[in-house]
Amino acid sequence: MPDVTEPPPGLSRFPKSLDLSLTGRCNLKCRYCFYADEMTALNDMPAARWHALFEELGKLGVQNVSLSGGEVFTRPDLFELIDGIIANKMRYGILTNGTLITEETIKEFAKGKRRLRLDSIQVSIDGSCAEIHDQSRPPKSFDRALRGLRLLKEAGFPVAVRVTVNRANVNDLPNVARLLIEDVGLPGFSTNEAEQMGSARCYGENVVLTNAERKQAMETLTNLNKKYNGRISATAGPLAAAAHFAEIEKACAEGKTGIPGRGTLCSCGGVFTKLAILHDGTIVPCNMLPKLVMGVFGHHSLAEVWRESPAINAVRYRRRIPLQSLPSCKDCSYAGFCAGGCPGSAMARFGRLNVRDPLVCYRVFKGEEKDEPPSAEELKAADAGGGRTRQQR
Amino acid sequence: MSDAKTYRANEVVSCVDEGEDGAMLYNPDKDDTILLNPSGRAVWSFITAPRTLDDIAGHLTTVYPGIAREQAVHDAEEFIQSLLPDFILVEQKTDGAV
Repeated sequence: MPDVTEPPPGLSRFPKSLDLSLTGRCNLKCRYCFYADEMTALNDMPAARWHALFEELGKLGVQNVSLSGGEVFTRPDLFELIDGIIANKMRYGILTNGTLITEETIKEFAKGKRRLRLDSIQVSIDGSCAEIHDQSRPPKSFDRALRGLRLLKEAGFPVAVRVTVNRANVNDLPNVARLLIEDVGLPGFSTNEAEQMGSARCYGENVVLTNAERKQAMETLTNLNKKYNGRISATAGPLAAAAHFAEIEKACAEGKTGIPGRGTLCSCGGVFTKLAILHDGTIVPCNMLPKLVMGVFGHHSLAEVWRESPAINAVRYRRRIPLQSLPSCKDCSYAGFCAGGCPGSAMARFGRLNVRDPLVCYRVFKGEEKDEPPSAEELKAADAGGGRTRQQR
Repeated sequence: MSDAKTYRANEVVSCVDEGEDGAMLYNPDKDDTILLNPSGRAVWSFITAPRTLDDIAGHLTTVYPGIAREQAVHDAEEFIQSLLPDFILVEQKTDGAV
C-alpha cells in the first residue's frame, strides 16, 4: 500500500465541488435513507459556521456545492445559507424529498441570484402513485412530493428526479417512467437502488432488492430506456449494472480479456474531484463513507486534509489494488472487465474499504457465485491493505 | 474633455492561483471558467480598479521591462477581448463630466 499521507500524483490543489449535508433534520422517515444513522447521531452546525465554511470554500476556488440532508427545506434559514453560497462566488444544487416545496418557496427562489446560480433541484419520486411511493415513506408523501415537483416544473426550474428502485416499486417502474416523462413532462430521470445501509438495515428484507428482483429491474429499465430514447440515466443501481454487464458481454464476445482502465478497485472517481461535509462539520470523502473521517471543519484545514488525509487517500489508492489480489476475485475470468464497485457500498455492508461490492459482480449476476459476505481470509487481506483506515470519529 | 473606455475585473468572478501555471477565473453567473497565464494573472490583479488600455499596456511594460510598448498594447487588447464580456466589464470614462 502506498503512503496514504501523500496524495496521488496530479491531484488538484482543491476540489471544484463539494457535497454538503446541511441538516440532520427531516420531515420524513424513509425506509432506505442511507443517512439515517448520522441524522440521529450528529448535531447541526449553526448557521454562523456554515457561513464561515462558505467563505473558506470561496477562497479555495470551489465552484459549486450540492446541498442535501436530512431535508434541506426543514432549515428555516435555508435561503440565507444559499445567499452565503452566492456571495462567495459559487453555484449550487439541491437534493430534496420535495414535500415542503410550496408557492412561497418558488417566490423565495426568485430573489437575488438564487435562480441564476441554481444548477439543479432533484426531487425523490419512488412510485407512480401514493400506494407505492408511500410504502417507503410516511402517508401523503407522494401527493406532496408530486405537487412540489409540478410547481418547480411549471415555474421553469432546472428540476431533476431520482427514483430509488426498491422492493415496493420494482413492478411499478413502467408507470413511474410514464408519470415522469409523459405526464409531468420531464426530459428524463435518474435511478439508483436502495442499499443495505442507514435505515434500510432495519427494513432490509422489505426494501432491498433480491437478486431476482435486481435482474428484473435491470431488464425493465433497459427496455424503458430504449422506449424513451435514453432519457433514463444511472451511475449506480440496476440500470448502471445492466450497462456494465452488457459491456462485459460485448467485450467477451469480441474475444477481449479486459477493458482498459479496469481490473482494479478503481470504480470511484469521486474522491479525486469532490469531498463531503456532514451536518456537524465532519469532513469525509463522500457522504456514502460517513465514518471515514478526514477532519472537522474549524479544526482542520480543508486544503490540507484534501491532499493529505489518509482517509481519502486510502480510497484514492484503491485503484492500485488488482482485483485478482482479492481472495473473492482471484480466479475470476471477468476481473479484467470489472472495477470492483462502490467503496461506500462495500464499507456499509462489510465494514471494509478494500473489498469488492457484490452488487456489481458479473459472476453473482450470472448465478456463478453467491452474494455472500467476504471470507475471513478476504477480511484479513483487506485489513492488511488499509481497508479499515481511520474509522474513528 | 477626454473620453476613453476603462476596463475592470467583474467582481462576481473568482480567481484562484494555480501556482506557476497562472490562475483560473470562474464566473458563477455564467458557469464559465478561463485559465490565465502568469502575465494575464498580473493584468487581472491590476484591473481590480478601472483601467484604460493605455494603463494596462503601461503596467505590462512595468512588469515585463523587456517588452516593447507596441507589443504591450497589442497584448493588452488581446487579453481584454478574450475576457469580454463575462470576465471583464467595460465602462465609458468621461473625465470632467458630472
